[in-house]
Amino acid sequence: MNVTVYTTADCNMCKAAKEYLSANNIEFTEKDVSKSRIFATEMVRITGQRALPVIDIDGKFIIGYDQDKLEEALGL
Amino acid sequence: MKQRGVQVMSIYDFKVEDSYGEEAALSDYKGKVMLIVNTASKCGFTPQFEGLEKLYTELEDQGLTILGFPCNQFANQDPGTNEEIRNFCLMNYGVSFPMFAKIDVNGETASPLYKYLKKEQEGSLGSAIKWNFTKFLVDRDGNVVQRFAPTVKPEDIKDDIIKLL
Repeated sequence: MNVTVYTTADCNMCKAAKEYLSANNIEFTEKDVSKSRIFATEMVRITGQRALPVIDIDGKFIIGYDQDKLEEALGL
Repeated sequence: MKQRGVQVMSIYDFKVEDSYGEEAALSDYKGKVMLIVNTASKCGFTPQFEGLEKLYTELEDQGLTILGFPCNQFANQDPGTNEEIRNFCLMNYGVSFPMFAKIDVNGETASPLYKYLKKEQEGSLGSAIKWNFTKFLVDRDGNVVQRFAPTVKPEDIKDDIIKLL
């Protein structure tokens, strides 16, 4: 399972998503869109929207910190 | 500007850091009316971001630019806003006007631009910035003409901006 989390600075919902993944021992790659124009453009191109965090689980996108959807997508 | 051999600082002399850590220059905005705002350093929703964005979309093609400087110095004070009700944040705080790297606006570590702005327009109780969303209005020639308290809504500044456009 390939998990990528798009985050930005000062984003409590982004922190919550990362903590949730770590608490469930799920490895992920973090892409901070506030630090990199490349990540920012990529995120908008791939997801078509500007809300964060975006949790990409094998190409399935969850927008925002949605614990129910995360549980379902991660099979928890 | 030089007057009798004495160099006088202009707002266009200042360099700042953009949100990606690259250098930007205030001189890029020469000829535009600038509204310079210290913003809350949170990506949560604040009504003033929406108000500023609305102003910007309405008046950008007439020559208004808004420059946002996130600042964390007021973070521990009670926000009194509806943040954290949503489970998401918006990229770039949901605005399309330029946002820059986080700075301090008060104290020794205050950015040189803010030291200048405060000197040009002292507030009612001295020059320290009191809270997020203090606004400085700069005309097309770089004169810092007005300062507005955080409680003054963006829409209530519209007429003052239009006068300068």
